[in-house]
Amino acid sequence: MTALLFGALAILILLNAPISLALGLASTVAAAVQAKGPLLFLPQKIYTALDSFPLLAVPLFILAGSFLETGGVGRRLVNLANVLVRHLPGGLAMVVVVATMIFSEVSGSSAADAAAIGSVTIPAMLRLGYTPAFATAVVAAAGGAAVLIPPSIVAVIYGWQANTSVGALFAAGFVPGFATALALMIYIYFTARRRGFPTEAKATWAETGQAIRESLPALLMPVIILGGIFGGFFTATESAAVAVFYGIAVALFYYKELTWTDLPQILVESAVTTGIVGLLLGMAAVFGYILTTLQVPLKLANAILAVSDSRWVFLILVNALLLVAGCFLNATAILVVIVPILLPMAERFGIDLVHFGIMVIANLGIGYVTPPVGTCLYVACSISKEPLDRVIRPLMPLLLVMAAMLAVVAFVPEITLVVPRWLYGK
Amino acid sequence: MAESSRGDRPSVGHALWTLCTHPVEWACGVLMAAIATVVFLQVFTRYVLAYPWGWPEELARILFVWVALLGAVLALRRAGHFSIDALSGALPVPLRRRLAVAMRLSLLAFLLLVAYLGLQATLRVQEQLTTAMEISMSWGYAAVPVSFACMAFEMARRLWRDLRGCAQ
Repeated sequence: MTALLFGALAILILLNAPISLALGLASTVAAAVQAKGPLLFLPQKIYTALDSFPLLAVPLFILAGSFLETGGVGRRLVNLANVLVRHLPGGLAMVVVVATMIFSEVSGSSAADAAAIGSVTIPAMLRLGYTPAFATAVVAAAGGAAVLIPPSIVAVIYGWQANTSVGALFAAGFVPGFATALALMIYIYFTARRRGFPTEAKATWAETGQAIRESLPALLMPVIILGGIFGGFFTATESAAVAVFYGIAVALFYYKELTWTDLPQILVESAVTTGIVGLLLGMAAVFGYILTTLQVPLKLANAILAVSDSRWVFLILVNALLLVAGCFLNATAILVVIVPILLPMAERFGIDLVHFGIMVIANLGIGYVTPPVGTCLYVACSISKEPLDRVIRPLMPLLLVMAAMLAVVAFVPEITLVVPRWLYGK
Repeated sequence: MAESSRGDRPSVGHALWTLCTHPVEWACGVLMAAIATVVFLQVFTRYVLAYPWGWPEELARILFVWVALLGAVLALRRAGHFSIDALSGALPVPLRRRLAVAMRLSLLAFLLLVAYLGLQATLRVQEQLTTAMEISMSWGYAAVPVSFACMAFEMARRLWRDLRGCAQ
């Protein structure tokens, strides 16, 4: 039966069927053959999966992200990052990393981060004489690293799957996220010195003051969102709704780059993105139910335990699997297809599910950047108009840096758990 | 939104679809705005009025089920759902067409099945009331049959286009 389930799934996906519907159909076939009973559980699983308050953060963060993206927040944050680091070797490439990290503290989507920051920084880097391939690679890698920085939509989805607190996951992403960003910047620094990348004059105090003043409303947002969540004032979902209204207000009335007539379009586009994720989650619930009925995770865990009961071997296998999957599958698809199988196994190996989640998300971050299927890579390439195959060379060292940081995150749980332990005392 | 149908005259199916796709877009836009407002209202009632109302959370959850499933209809229409085209792109064209027809046919059957089961489930929960608003659970459940019926319609439209393409 398990063979039927995965066989049907593989055939449908290889025939270019939408992954969400392929999951639903394969599960239905397996259930129909197995139980021969009524399939009324199908609509029930779909409904109860989506009828969840924590998941509501997904459409709200998508919406907030697109308001910020179109509302001119990206440009102000780039200006701010610019006055802070532009005088360093490879300054503008570092600006990309810094601005992406700040932007991702208010946005939950890595694609939105890469689009908002890339659309401003890629033309600027080209003007300064960076090669288009390098500019594209830096924007893509920064977007991938940003997935760890809270808030993050994939963390919301993982929390829903693993039944762990979204707040704890957000808190846990801090150190690994900023450490990865710092590692990318160090790599950029040394590459820039070796290859003589252009630098700019250090910003004057007046310029710095101006940039801070202009970006202040945008900078207040992470204080409200993250402060609200970690201070226990709002849930993640509520903070997302606050972010939507704050984002609209800033974009409409302060920066005035968003007009009322843009709103319907943004609402509908966000609904489409929500629909893509929503259908995947509904079908994933059906798939997860069948997996549990067939005891797939249990059998797999026993198979692995028979070979080795080492937690490290398990973690290495999981990382290898996720990295390969990340090349071909989108982040949400990995979360719903592969992670439900891994979660019960991680529990059996006694791995903290918050730590496991951050490790999974760090893998997804690399998956955002690895060709052939990498959302951030696509976004960056579509801005720079650089063909994907030429970006791969400058991208490789950046990916290696991210992989090295992933290894640290995977094997040193303390790095991840220090902030949530401090905040939530667990 | 590019219309990729290559027909000389607008087909009945296409006319019907445009007729019902605009309300779906409208509904999605309104639902998104409503969700943000309702959740914001929940924060507002807790901190400003100092007592939380129960219904905003429940209403927001029902609205989310609707926007997630109706958004999926729009995404199917725009071919936005994640898929992998690596293998099917490598196949010879006639074989690829036949396999695409078989794949869409099986997905159509699945969508119709869930639409039908969803209708059954919606009717079955008619008497059950939600805890805070005390409205029928059918209001939420109805999103499943409505969405899957719309997706089935879109799938049928694509299938029809495939079949015409094969015949030519």
